[in-house]
Amino acid sequence: MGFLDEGTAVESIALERRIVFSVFEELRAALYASVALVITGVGILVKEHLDRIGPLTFVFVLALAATACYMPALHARSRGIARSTAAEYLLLLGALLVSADLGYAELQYRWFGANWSRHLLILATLHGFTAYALYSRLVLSLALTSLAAWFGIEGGSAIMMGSHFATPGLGSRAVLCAAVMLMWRAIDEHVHTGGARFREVFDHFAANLAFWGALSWCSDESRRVVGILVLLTLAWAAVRTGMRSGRELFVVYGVGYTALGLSIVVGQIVALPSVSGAAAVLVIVLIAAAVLRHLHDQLKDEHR
Amino acid sequence: MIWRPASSQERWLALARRLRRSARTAPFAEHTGGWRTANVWSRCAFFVLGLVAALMMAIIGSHLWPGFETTITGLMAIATAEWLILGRRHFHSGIEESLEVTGLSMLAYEGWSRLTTSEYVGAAFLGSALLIAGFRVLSPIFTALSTLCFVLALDAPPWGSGLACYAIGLVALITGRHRFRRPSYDLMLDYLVIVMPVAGYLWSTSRSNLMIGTDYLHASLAQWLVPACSLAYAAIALAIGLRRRVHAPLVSCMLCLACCAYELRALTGLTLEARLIAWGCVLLAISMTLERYLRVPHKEITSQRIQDDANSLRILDVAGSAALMPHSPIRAAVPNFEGGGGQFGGGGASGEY
Repeated sequence: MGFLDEGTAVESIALERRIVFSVFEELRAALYASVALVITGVGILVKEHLDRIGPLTFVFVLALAATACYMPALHARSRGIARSTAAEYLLLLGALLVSADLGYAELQYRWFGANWSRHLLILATLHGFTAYALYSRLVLSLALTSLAAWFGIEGGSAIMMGSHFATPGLGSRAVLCAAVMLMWRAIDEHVHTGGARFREVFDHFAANLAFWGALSWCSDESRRVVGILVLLTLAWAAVRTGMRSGRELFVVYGVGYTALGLSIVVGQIVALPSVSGAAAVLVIVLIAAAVLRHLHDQLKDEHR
Repeated sequence: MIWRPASSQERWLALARRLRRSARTAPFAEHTGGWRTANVWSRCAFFVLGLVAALMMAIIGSHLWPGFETTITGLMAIATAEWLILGRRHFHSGIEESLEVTGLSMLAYEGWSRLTTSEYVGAAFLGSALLIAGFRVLSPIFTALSTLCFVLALDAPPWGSGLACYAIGLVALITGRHRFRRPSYDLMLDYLVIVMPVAGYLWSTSRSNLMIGTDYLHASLAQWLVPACSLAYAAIALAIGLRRRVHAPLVSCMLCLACCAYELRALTGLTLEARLIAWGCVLLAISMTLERYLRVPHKEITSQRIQDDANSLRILDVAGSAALMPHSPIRAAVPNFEGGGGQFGGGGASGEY
């Protein structure tokens, strides 16, 4: 196979002939499911038995469990060896337990009083520090989620369905949060000589938050024009990033969010069940499909 | 007329996808016959855009041709999909798939609504539409959905439908031994292997048990058959998956075990949170043990990653982790908390809770 390097060719033949069989993805799914089960259980425990559990005992037990989860990752780091997938998910569980623990402790002891949301900032800092110290993308995602929660954006995509989605405040906070994440990434890129270590994670979080912010503005009559302008600017930036780096998802963000935003605006100006409204949305969708197809082909040709 | 990629062209397209190379470049371009595909995210986006386009066409049709909108819109959607396939050589691109399936579903709906009101006949009509679309665009999702529709159309009691699903799953599992020349036919069987036992469980378990757990300590033998079927299928799938070194039966086994665990959830008498934590810890321990044991390949099976994730798929684990982040208990404890009501730098928090 002249067009493949030897390693890729050997690997492909081994996979095709099933000489070697990896259950990596199955194990990763099982690890994720186990972490999800435990943290959901802890979440219900906190919610349902607040009054029955001794607060100090509970905070202590959670902290102890979290520490135990951090141990394999710390051990691997101290020995300078690569962390296993299981240790990575244990670290994630530990970080999630810390989040639950601190949230519970703040609810019980009201350390910050009226400014209770500061515990989210502490969590963002703590998880950020852990992510850099132990080089974990998964923990960094928790840091960024905590930061977004501190800005008042909690619940991920579910927020899109909520009644608060169309509030101008949410849009501003989302855009501001995205800007902070990009600044964080820029500092990381500046400090770390090899470039930003978690560039991809930052980019995806910032892009989605900024687009949600722009969509929120598009849904609000008073900021619609600003929303469309910001949406188009973000789309241009996302497509440019995607085309330059070969990351197709950013091209999809740019085209998809723009089509969604413009359809929302059309739906508000012209009633959607009307012929003109449906025709306008149809035109937007067809243009989006044509643009995405063109960019997709171009991307494939440039990054083959 | 060339109406879809030849099996050899499809294999070359699959190889290009596996090696993350463009099918429009050498040496793939010489073997793919000019067929164009899309990567996973673009395909999803195209699929959604196609669905929205079909919906808008239906709205316009309802104003322009009242009474015939479904037929005309369906035909237009199919015509557009066929133009994309035959004229533009789109294959697994998303948009032609959604247009084809919505067009055929609209025609099926129209045929059903004019002939009868029986929902079972409706399921058969929809199943036929999905089957035709599935084989036309070679989509395993559509063929799996069509199988479910045909099982629904049998109008059998829940147990009968459940057993039919398990039987289809087993047939697919056994047939999977044969490797087809078309990768999409293999995928169709894989999807049946995964989907049918889960559908079989959902059909055979009682509706009440999905909400409130059955007391299996005092259950009849017939009731025990529900988890037993899932468990038996899981065991067979595990054995076949490990023997043939294929993923679909292993995924199916994991899902069947999850169904079985859900069905038997009331067996221990523990509270929900205790069960979640306990079984989560057990699953964690098993996964960690297996991961450690298989680090060095055992009978050619390893827990090590062989191929790097595609760039575009790497973000999934990050998104999954972010989704697990517990919501602030303070926010949850305050029912009238308004997320957007506060000042900057406070998470929308005014502190009035």
